[in-house]
Amino acid sequence: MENRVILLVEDNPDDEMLTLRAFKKNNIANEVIVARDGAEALDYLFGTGQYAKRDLSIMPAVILLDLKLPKVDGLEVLRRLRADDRTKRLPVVILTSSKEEQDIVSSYDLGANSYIHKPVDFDRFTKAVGQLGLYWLLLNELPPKKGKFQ
Amino acid sequence: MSKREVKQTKQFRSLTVTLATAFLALSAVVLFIVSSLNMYFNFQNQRKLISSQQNSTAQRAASTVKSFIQEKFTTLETAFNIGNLARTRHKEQKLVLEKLLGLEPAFRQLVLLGEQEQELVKVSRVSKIVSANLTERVGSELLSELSLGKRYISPIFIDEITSEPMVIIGVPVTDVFGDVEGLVMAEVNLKFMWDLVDSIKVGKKGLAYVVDKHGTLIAFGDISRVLGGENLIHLSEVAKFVVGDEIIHKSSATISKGILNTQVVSDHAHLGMPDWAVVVELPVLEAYETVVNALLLSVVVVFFSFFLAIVAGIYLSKKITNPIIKLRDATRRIGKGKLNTKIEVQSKDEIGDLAVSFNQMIKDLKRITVSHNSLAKEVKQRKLAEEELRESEKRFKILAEHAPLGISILAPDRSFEYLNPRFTQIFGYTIEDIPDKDTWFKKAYPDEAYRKKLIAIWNRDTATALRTGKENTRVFTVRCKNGEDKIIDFRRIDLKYGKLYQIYDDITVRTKAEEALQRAYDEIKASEERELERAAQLEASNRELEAFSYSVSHDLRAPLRGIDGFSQALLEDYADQLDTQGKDYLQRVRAATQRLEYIIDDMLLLSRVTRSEMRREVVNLSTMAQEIAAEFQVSQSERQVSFVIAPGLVVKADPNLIRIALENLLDNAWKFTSKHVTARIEVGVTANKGKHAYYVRDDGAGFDMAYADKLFGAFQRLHPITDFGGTGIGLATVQRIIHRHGGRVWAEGAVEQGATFHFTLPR
Repeated sequence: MENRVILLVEDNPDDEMLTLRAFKKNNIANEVIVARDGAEALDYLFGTGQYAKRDLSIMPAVILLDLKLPKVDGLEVLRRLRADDRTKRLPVVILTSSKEEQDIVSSYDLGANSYIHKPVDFDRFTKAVGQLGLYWLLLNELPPKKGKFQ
Repeated sequence: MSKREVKQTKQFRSLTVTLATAFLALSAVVLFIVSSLNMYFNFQNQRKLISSQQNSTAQRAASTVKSFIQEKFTTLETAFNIGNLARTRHKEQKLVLEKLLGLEPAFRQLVLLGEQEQELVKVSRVSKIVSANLTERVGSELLSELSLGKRYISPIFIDEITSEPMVIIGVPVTDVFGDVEGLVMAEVNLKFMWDLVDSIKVGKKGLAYVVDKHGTLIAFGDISRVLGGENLIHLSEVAKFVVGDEIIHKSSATISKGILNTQVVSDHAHLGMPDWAVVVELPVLEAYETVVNALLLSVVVVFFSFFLAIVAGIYLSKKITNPIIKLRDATRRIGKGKLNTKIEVQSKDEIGDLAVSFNQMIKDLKRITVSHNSLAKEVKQRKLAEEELRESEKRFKILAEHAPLGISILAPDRSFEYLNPRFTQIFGYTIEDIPDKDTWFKKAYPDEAYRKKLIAIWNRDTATALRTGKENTRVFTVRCKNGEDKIIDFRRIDLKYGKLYQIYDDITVRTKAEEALQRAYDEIKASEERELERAAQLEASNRELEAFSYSVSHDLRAPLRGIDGFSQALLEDYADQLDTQGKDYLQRVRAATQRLEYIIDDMLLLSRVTRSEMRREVVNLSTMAQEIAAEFQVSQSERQVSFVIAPGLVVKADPNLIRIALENLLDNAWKFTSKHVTARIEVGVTANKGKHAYYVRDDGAGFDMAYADKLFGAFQRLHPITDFGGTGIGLATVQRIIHRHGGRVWAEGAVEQGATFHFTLPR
């Protein structure tokens, strides 16, 4: 479990830093791969672009996906993930500032596993991140590795 | 053919009957005259005959009676004149007289008187006492007569004893020289004459009787009447004799009352000597028997002739009228339309001629009236059609009179024939105002240019109508009598007969209304366009707002989170390097960022309230308010707030939006009562004019009514934020939700006396 990576798709460096700080505060020591936009996230997941040489057998334990992203937005990323056999069962947690109902509904429709609203209050933010880490990294039983990424 | 002509107007009398009657009458007259004349002469003859017969009978009877008396005289004269009886001896005289008495039974007593009228001999059949003295009875008259040598007969007398009529006859006794020597008197019993009289035959049932000059009955078959000494002077025949008109009685056999009180034909004959008369009576019937028989025969003959006349008359008249009846029947049949009738009259006379002409006439009539039935039918149909036409004319007249459209009829001579009341009502012109088309044109279209144009159009339309039969409707402006201009829809109906029917529809009001409508429509269209434009703008601004909200929720929140997050990081990681004031500043930074987050959230809610879809459902406000109240009670359990929520507040609204509104109102109430130890919050409804107004009332801080209009503006606050929290958007959100439902929201309140928020929701 410890060696499992977390893919954080976040364009805002402040949020990225605060998220990482929240992980640290919750004693989540997994490697965090940060993608600055949707395209980079897809490159990483499908081994394209700058991640062309990446070993695709290693897939993130969970993907924290913001919705408002440059180049390819969060919902598009989610759709492509769910469209690909290699990634369609990866846990995706939408982590966003938006409280828009429409965003929430669309996310779940596209197969998001969870939707977390980023509160402005850092204390609440830390708490939320801690909870999701606990759930997705420790408690959640992943599907068998083999056969899924062939 | 009507029945009237067949029907007899007068009492019908058959020609047959008339002819027969005439014939009968004629023959009856002839017969009557003939038989009357016959009867008259017959009667006259008969009467003469009867008269002579009667006369002769009477004469015969008279002579019989006379001879009876004469016989007695002769007997006396003979007995005494053969011998000188007076001079003979008494004895001989007596013998002679006795012989005489024996010879003649009628003598009752014989007396021989001498020259001095002394009684010489007297012989009698009866006793001396009874036999009266003849001399006394006869008197001196007898003696003087006898002395003159004449025969004497006394008047009749009735014997007192025997009551028999007696008469005394006397003859002189003369000598050979004719000198009177004495006389012989005999008392003659007339009884012996009775049988004689009775035996006189007068016809079959006739009778005879003898009367003396006084009318006294002397002899008759009925002895009792003679013995009674009856006087018959009351009988006219007897009276004639007594009076003595011998000449008159001879000529006639008159009818009179007889002795038996029956009608008789009588006659009498005078005996002369004695001065008696024999009367003969024959019953009228017997006397006129032959006349009656002749009369009866005549009657039989007349009736027989009459019968023959009837038969002959009927036969003849039948013969004459039969063909006429045939003709009549034929005419009747023809009258009934049986034109196949042929008259069967074969006679060669005028009637036959007439029948031939008649048959010819039927033939002609048949030819002429072949189409009689169809003609009659046609006439009937035409009559019906005429009636229908009249009815239809009446109908159309009524329609025209009451039509809501003006109607005019123009005669071929360009004069108006008819204007209906509506025409005058529209234009004010009567037929006197506009007698013809030209006057109409001048009055209706005073503007010459317009009139010329109109006439051109008119002529063109007429030409088109004549060519194609199609009529245009035209709209012209007409000047009315009162100077008003009216817009008229003209509809012409050109009829083939040269009359022009025109219909006028006053569309002034309609046209003006249409124009107004068009203007209104244009305006609406323009405003709709503006509206659409505005809607497009609104749509655009909505989109902008959406984009704005979206970016607000992302972009505005992210830096805030940064501010808060790094302030926290500073506080945590660099606490030892910060003094108390520095830490306080960072705390304020964090508080400000959090308030800004609330504001952003409320603004997003407000925009969502505006944009979100609405769906109306039945919502129980009471239940909803209870739920919200319960949440408040839980979140701040230390407060003593009593909720009074009226049950059964059911409305039709969007459940999400109405919940937001209710939450905001209750939140408001909760918030503004927070300074009071105890509070009371009410939710209820009032009804005003059938409209329900719901309310949320509290007894909290309240507000100054002067600022009531500012309550519902966004970011408007009536209290310092330090007193009561909140973003100032809540009531704006409530107002927007109620408005979206088409309702109204208003507030009442006073400072420190609580506030009441009312809202309505249309059903």
